[in-house]
Amino acid sequence: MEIMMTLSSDQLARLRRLFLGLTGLTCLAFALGALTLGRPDPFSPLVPLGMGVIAALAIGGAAFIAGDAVASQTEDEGYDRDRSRAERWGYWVALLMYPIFGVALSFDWIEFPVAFAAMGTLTGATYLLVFVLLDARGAPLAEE
Amino acid sequence: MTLVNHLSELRRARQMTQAQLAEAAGVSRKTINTIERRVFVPSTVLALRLSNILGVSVHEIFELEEEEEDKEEDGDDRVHGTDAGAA
Repeated sequence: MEIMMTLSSDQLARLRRLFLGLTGLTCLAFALGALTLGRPDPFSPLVPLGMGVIAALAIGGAAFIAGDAVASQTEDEGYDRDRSRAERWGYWVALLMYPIFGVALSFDWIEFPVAFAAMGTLTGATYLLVFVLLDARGAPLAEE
Repeated sequence: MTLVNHLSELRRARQMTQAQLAEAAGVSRKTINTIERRVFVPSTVLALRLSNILGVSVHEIFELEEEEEDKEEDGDDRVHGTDAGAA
């Protein structure tokens, strides 16, 4: 028996939001954990890494199942706009973190490995979560 | 000047859903939704594609509408222009 599995662009976008959101939240939890516990590994760094890999595989696999036409529908100019806005946020937050963490490091409030871990994961979390928020905000709730 | 669009009315007049229009245009339903809600201004290519699908000109979907302030400013300019011309 042949099993037909298809995904609409809406479903693919929802799946992308889910996995990117989970990865973003994992990165944010890692950064906040590092800062609050004062250690560069509040939990295994393999967790955010693994979430990223799982997200990439899930989104890539779903896009493959959905086919080229549906995949390109979900990567249209609206997606490009949200992505570039999220990148802008990620860029400015990453830049802003240098003076903030620079001050914290100069006063020995945090150690360098902690700052390194927090800055890296916060940059990733900002991009991912802003993208998910922008994508979810424009998504229609019901069919019109 | 504000950009207004009649995409929603034109789509409904053709009894198309957002999903059908999105599929025909090769974009996501979200993009169609954000254009209709005037959140997103599409590229020229997408505007032309939408006009082809709906069988209307781009001008029938999108138009620039003058705001009250613009109209007043234009009116002032015209008065000044007339004065300058008379002088």
